[in-house]
Amino acid sequence: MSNSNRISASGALVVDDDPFTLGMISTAVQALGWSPVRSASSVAEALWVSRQVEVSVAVLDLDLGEGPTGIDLAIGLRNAHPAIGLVIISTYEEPRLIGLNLPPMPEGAIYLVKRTVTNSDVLGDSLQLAVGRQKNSGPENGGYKPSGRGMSDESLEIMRLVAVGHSNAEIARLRVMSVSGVEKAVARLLRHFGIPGGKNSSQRVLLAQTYFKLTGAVSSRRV
Amino acid sequence: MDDLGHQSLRARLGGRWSLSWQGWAVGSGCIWVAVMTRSALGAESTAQWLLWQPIVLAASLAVGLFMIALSRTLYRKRNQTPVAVWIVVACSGLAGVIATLTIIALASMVGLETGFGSIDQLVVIWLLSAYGSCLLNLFFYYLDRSATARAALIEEAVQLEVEALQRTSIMAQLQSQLEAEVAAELDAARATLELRLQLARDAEGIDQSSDRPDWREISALLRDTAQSSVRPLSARMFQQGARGYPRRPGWGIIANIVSAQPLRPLALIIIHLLGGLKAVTDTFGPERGMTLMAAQCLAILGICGFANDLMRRFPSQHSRVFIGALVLLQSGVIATSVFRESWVPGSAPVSWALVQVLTGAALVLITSGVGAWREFDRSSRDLFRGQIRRSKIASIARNRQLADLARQASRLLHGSVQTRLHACAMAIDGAGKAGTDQARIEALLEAMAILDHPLVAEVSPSSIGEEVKRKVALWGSLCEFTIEVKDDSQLDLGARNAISVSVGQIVEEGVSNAIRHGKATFITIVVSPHPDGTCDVEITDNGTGPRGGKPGIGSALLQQSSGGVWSLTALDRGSRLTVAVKA
Repeated sequence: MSNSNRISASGALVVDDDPFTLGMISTAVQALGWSPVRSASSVAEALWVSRQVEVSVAVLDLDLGEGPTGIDLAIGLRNAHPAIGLVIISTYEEPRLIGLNLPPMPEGAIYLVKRTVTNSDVLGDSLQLAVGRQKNSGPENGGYKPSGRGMSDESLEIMRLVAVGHSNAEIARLRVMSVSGVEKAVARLLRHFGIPGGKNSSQRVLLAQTYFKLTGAVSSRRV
Repeated sequence: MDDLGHQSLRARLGGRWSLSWQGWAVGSGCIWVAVMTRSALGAESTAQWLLWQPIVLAASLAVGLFMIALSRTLYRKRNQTPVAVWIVVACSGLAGVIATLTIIALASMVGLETGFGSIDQLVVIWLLSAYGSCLLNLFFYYLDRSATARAALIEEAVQLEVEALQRTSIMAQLQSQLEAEVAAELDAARATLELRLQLARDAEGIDQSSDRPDWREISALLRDTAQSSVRPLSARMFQQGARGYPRRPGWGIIANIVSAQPLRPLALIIIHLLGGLKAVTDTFGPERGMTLMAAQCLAILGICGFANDLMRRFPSQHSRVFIGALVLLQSGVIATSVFRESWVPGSAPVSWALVQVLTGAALVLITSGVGAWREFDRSSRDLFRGQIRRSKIASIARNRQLADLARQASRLLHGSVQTRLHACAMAIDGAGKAGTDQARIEALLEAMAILDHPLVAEVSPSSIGEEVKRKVALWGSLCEFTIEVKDDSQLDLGARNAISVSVGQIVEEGVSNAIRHGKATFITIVVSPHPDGTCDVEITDNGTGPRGGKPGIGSALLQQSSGGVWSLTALDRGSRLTVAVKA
């Protein structure tokens, strides 16, 4: 985005349940020229703040702990302020990795994976894009490009359940499906990610590691 | 093998207790009893009796010197490297021989008759002394191990108590420190608010750099305070802990002997020989004396062996067999009396027979009582260990509560409270700028609410109502709620805690679905606990109604919580989720 098209920065809201991240992002947003920058650590606080003062753009963490997610908050903010620009930022490669029971992201919202934010310009461009889209009512799925690599919702959910330590039988009970169905799904996942079998490694552990890599919880390093 | 762990015979026999002043004291007592008994049987005069005293003392000292010599040579490193068994046996026997030779030598010097001195007698004394000393070593070893295990258990119990005291103290300190820190922060924030209110011009530059409390310092202070208040109590608490150690009445041991312990024929025979061989051979001559003793020993061996076999085969008849054997053993005194009277008239009066019966019964109980005492000791430790284990589990649970409190409080202090205050300040700025008094007052009231109860909001719920409200509070800003939670006070604490979690999960599932997928703006929650521990949950929303689709984790949760008794029905507008949560 060229500087000539830049939208004049105004009030921003940063929401994150981690105080350190909250402070860092708030500082970065302020340094990008958005002012004043309001910060909140929960959905309730964020909505309360948004009712008190005018906010042009909101930077929301996807995982806000127990209760509503950043997407729930984004929908609430959009309902209250249709013109608000929304940037959802997370370590998860895509929102589906946090769980399947999520609503779709609001129109025009940007999904930003933290590891791709290599400098403040990336964040600045995303903020500009989010606000610009709302002003122009851009319809492009918020710039969010799922990186599910062709995986179905069910496969992603089974991968998540394997990663949190459930057995195939337990996954079958939770997903209301047969154990053999789960086994086949796990086998598909292993093929999908090219996880080899053999005596020297546990495929289930490697699958869990792949999941956490996608969520940004661990690096790809393997000792 | 009991719970004290297994050590080799060498470690038990040749370790610390292979040489001890306690062993020397008991040995000296045995020498004195043996000499005095012989003196009494020999009907010696008081002067002779008095002469024996320094002789016995000298014999004890001679043994003591021998032991000191051993402790400087062969036994020097016994604590680190146990002495070989054969050395212990040899030296123990030698100690008895040294005592005997000292007595013989000194007695002959003052003209007293011992009747000892032949090689065969010395061999018997060597054997008896070795046997008795080894038994004594093992007994002291076991006593020591048992006392150490008992002290360790009591210490463990004391540690738990100390931990509980520390925890209570720390929790109180933590709570007050946190409240003080929060209050300090809020005071600073309040001053900022007042300043902002006065200026009320610039909504930018909100102060985000309020001083952070030094948590390491606070933590150290808490630890020091808790330690200093607890440490002086340690000694007293050990005594209190020892009082909690289970004790058994003495008569219980006798009951255990009769009902569970075998007879000890070998020990009985040795004591019998030790106590009576010399006197009997003196009185009736070697041939008759030895015959009588041999017959008695065979009788003991036969009766005890047969009784032990019966007790093993018929454990339910243990008590009857034991008492029968005891009576049979003591009835042998009558037969012995007949022989004695026939050989030497007057050698077995009624008083003698009575003493023999009583002494014999006591010996049987004592020899079998060692096992009973060990069993009692072990069961007491097991009982106490069980108590400690239960206390430990409770302690772990309480520690988790403490950790949760600290975590929640810490998060509140650094996160929510601070952020909410900043939000209040910013809101007041904005309201002041816009000139809206109402918004400013609301923001101030919010700040005051934070100030008054900064830590209350995140405390773990203790009732169904609290858990439901907590869950609803998470979503409260995205939707309007009406909550009706009926009284759950009829449930006991355990049932209430257990079902609170399930109800909370169901409420969260129902509410999140209604908001996320039904786009509900108004939700009514009715929770009705029942005295049997079950609970009905009804969640009604004004959203778009059920959307169907494949059942997922939410359905599995409802299925698990209710045992299948749940329904999701479409209404004219919205939906109703009804779940009968099982106990």
